[in-house]
Amino acid sequence: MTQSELAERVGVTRQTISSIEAGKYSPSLELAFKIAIVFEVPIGEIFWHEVE
Amino acid sequence: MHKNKVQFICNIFFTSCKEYPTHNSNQMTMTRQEILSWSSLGYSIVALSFYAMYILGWAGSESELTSDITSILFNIFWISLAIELVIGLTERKTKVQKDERDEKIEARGHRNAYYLLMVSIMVILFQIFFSNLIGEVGTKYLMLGSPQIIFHALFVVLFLSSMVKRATMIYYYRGL
Repeated sequence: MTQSELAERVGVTRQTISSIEAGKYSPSLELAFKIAIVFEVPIGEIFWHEVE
Repeated sequence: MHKNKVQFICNIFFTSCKEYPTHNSNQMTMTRQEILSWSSLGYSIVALSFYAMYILGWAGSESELTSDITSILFNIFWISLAIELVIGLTERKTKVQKDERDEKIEARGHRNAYYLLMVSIMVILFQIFFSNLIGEVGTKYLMLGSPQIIFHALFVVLFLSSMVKRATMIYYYRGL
């Protein structure tokens, strides 16, 4: 799946997906769930909070 | 794998990307909103510059320099207009116009513009008060509180706020 395809499926721009992937942007919970649903995995497998 | 607060693991993602080798996952191009921010910044710069040059009279007597600057400003204006026209004509109707990242960045731009506007208005209000106070001592200070000066100040602040908003947005678009 390309960034553009994922972006289209979750209703954001490709640049947003690119920023999330690069760790520059933290998505909203709603968007994070949408991405998890697209990949059919629990949200925790895709996103987690790293304690510094 | 990136080490950030929120990480996008994309074992699945990257695995999937490998199936499409032509795709460059790190490629960052401008969104529609970012391009519009650039064009709006261009408009604000042009408007403020023309205002400063011809209304406030900063153009001075050097006509050659003035005509050069005017030419540059017109170029900025036409380029901004052309960009907006091209975007308007070429974009797909189904494409996402603005998403949550755009809104978040716009909110930051609004916040900074609001701060500038509020500080400027407070300065203008204090200036009116103090110029009236000082005006009782010396009349030459009274003109700082004149409606004409206040109008110019508010007009400049308005465009400066717009520029701050767009510049902030561009900064965050480049950063995020």
